[in-house]
Amino acid sequence: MTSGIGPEALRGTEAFMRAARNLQLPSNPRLIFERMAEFQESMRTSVQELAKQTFDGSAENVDVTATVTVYGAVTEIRIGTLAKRYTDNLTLGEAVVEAVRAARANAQNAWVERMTGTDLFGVSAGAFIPPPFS
Amino acid sequence: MSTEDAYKQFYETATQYARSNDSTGRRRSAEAATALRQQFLTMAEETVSATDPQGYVEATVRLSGELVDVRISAYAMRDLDAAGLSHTCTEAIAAARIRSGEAMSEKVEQMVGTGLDTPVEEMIPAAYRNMPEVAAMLKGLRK
Repeated sequence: MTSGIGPEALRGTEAFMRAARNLQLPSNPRLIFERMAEFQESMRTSVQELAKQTFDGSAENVDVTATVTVYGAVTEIRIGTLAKRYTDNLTLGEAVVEAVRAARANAQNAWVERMTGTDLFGVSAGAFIPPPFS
Repeated sequence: MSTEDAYKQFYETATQYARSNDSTGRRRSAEAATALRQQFLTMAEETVSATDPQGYVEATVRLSGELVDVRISAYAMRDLDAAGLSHTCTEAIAAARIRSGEAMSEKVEQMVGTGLDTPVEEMIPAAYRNMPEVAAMLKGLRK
């Protein structure tokens, strides 16, 4: 991540404010803090595990594959030998963009799936913790 | 309104109404915050481009980091094999992402008057810094 200030952070804040209306808070304050600590630990583990993974995506009609991190950084582009030989340069460039978008979509889905599996006071983390990129 | 103007307006409004309890102050602060938010979203849509070191491939990304375009030159098609071209595309995209981070940092510096490495308390209006909640938050950040 290059900056902590971005549309994702703003969307996350708005989503949290909406989700906060549905929180089912325990009456015992001690349970609130315990649950928050558990949630924090669960989130830390999830983010650490996701950060170790990479996600692939491919262009539909050209043999181009991209690999990205969960933060959307491109770590590798793979262009097939035949794709290089039989595709013109403009189409190949478009295929690279398409493959990166597909890989980022897969990373985004993995993030949402992971966050949806954890809740805080009855509200899914997926409702208020957006993927780290748009 | 530019992002710099939106931030200036937000800063002045927030300072002016820092301790205000009346609805006008809250409304004006909320309006200024909304305008600033819109400027941030607009800023994130701006694009920057960069090439690999040899200039074979040019990548364009938004300041939010999204890849929007990759231009592979005819020279790249002639000079590089598939593996070389793959590596060159990766380099160009990485360069563009680094450039987007730099551009975002420059814009924040223009807007706030200081860079992203500036201590957060210097970015908070003075009127807020002494409020108990803000002082406690800043103390926590300094730990």
